[in-house]
Amino acid sequence: MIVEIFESLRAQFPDARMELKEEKPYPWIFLQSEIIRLVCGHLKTVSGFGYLSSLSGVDRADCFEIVYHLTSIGSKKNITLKVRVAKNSPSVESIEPVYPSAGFFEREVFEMLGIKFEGNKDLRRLLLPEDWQGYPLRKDYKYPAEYHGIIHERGGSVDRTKKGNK
Amino acid sequence: MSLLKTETMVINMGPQHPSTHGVLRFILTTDGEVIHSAIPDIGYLHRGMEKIAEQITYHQFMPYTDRIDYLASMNCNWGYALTVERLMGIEVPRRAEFIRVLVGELNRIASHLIAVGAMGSDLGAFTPFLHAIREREWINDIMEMVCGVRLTFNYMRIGGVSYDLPEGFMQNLTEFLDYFEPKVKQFNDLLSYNKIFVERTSGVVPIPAEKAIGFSLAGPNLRASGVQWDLRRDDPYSVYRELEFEVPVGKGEYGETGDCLERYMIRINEMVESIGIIRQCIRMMPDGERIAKVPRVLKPPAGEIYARTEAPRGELGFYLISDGSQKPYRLKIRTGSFTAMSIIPDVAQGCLIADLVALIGSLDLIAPEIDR
Amino acid sequence: MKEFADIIRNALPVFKSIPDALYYGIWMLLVAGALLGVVSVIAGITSWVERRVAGRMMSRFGPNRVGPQGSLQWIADGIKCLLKEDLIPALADKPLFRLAPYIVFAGMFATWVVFPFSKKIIVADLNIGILYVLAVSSLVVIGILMAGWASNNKWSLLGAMRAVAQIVSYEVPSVLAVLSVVLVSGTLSMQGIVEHQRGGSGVLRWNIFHDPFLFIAFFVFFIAQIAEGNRTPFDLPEAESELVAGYSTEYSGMRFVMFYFAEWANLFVIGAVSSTLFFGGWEGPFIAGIHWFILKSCFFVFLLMWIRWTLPRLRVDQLMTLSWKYLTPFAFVCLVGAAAWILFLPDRYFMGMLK
Repeated sequence: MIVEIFESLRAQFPDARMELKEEKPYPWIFLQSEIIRLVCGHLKTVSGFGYLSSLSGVDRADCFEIVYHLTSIGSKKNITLKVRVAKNSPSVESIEPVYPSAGFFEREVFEMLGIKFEGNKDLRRLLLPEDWQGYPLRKDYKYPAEYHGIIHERGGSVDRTKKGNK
Repeated sequence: MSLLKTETMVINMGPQHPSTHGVLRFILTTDGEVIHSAIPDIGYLHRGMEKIAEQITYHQFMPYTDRIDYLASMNCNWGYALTVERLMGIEVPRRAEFIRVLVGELNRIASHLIAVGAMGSDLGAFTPFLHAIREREWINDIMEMVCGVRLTFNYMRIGGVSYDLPEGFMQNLTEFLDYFEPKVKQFNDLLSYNKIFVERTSGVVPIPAEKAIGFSLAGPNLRASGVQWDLRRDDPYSVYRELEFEVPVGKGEYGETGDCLERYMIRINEMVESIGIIRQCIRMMPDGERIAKVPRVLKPPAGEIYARTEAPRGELGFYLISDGSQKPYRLKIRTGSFTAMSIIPDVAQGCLIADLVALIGSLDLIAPEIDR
Repeated sequence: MKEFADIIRNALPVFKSIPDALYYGIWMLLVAGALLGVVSVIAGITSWVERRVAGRMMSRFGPNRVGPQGSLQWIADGIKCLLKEDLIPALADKPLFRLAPYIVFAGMFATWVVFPFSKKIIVADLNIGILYVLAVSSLVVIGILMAGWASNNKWSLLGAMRAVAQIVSYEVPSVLAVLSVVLVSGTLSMQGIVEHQRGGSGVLRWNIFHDPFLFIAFFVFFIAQIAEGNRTPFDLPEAESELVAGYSTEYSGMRFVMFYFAEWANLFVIGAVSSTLFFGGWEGPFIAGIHWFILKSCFFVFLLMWIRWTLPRLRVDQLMTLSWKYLTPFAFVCLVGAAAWILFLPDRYFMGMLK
């Protein structure tokens, strides 16, 4: 099923770089960050994937990945799309015009990983206070020593799987 | 004429609010009673669960999933356990699957009781809320029989459940179901068909189906708008394929499709359906193991998976990336209340403050699910 | 009460030497003090009864620790509130803020003067009895508005505005229903209205059975009085889940309790006025007396509590619609109907069947 969708996307956007990754248990499609909104629009109108299940950001070693899980309520199928952005200037098109629920999802990815979404109507911190410094879900994130006078005791995490640290 | 002007008022519907939905805050811009904009301010209950998940092992994360939605802990445990089992290809024994369905549906009843009771309480009907809590006390006692805890159960394990059903459990459960079924009718008589309640909720903020899908509403909120989508039937997991149940969908018989009363009635009807599912489970409960053989030190193969279950508040999805080590590389939790919160700024324009209260109650928001 | 004053004055000559103004002045103060004591105790006991009744309806216990069956709970709460810190917001309008609860209480308290507890026990049998009750109970509106404004808080102001709109709107059907009773009784005096309902073996001459229009007028009056008293289903001004506590948000300690004192004592006022106007006051089967008055008022108090803990609350526009589009036309019809009834069927009672 995902092969047909991949082929139809290939046909629709011939000069874009896409890749189908046939991984177990579920495959996904890699896309360029410039065409994500067009692809989502195409998938929504033509293939019936009108429901955005989830939008998440992942901090890989060399880049950021943004993962989109779309669901088709009519045909009860789902599809996974991935976009990679560079770490030094992470920015990607927002799919809020296509899926309004992406507004909140993208705000959360923005505040946790620092990825900018162009076209999101209200890109600001969602869960954390407005004056929080840093992007917590990044792998190189250091906890602040204190926040408004509240001291953070341990300056990192304690690995409880190591024997001495129970 | 410049001396006479109307200004909009900015009101803070504060984090401490007597409604029982947790710590939510809305910044309302109103013109008297009519709302011009309602901007939510969330994050008061943010505990950084996704970051915590990257630092502890798979087994150790199970108690944290209770706290995603403490009113439906079983379903949250189940979602996480399901995700890891699918990633590792673990086969859960049949008895464990049936036990999971049984406690999951029981938890659904408990969660919906609070949801409908709290909605009534927001609108001024204090008594039905306490009657709902009285019924829920028995469910808490049943859960205590099974796992020793009354709220954040931590009952499921990766591969099965942590304790088998004790002696006298089925007896107690059957008594409860026989007691509870007529109580739903009593609750309906007291609240659902009350003219004042109907006036307050019927036709109030109807959410059309396209908007509901566009904003990724889930669970009873989505079905109330007329969308036929229930993960138990349309993307079945566990043993739901073998069980017979109806899925209540909104048809606009109480006002308009997708209005507050519709969302409320869907929850009442889902409770009745859950009773039927539990009875089937009691009848079909097989013998067997309660948990599969799962290694103590769990190292799933490198890969990723997105698995979702139908929690009482909607689609609970876990996106898990494993890099082959003992701890997850990334765990993203997608909850139903998060997207329900995102629709409020859009639909709240033009309604009265009193309607906003009815809307929040009918969407069944819960702050820990939104913030994680 | 003037008769008692005169009897004592005549009996003990030493009082005759005191000038009139001083004697009656002291007497008035004593009676007012006694009445204040009675009202306070009734308000306190009503609060305890409300909490027990609410508890039983919600399938739980109410307060049952302090004193036998928790009956001293209200004393404990009163003492606690007196000992609380007197908190006034910094930017509040201090004189108005301090005065508001007492005006609300005064508006309610002043109505007790004309209640006919029995044939002899009435503080002052004014010949404008019921008109006085309706007029003086409107003082509450001023108090609420002062409270909402002086708190310097948007939520309080919103609650106060809603309360004022509600009380003022529901005055209209309330007064029209009372007018129907006045037409039938031919007098404004409370004792006069009760006298008109005497006889008929104690029950048959009650105004509510007089004609169908008065029957409807009772329900219109009762609903309007629930709204005047800010009780659920009309408790939007103090709707907890929407406005924290409405106009009394910024109040703490005894000032806060004053508002609720006024509300609980008002339950008894509603009961007393309803029973006087429509249910025969202190008249009843077998022996007429104060016990019937108390019994009927307490029944209405219980009814008000029952309604409060059962029904959800109305939205503000639904509330206004109910008053102006439904209750007021009904009240007009009752007034005209009652007038026509006594024109064509004079001197009859019990639905025109008995003479």
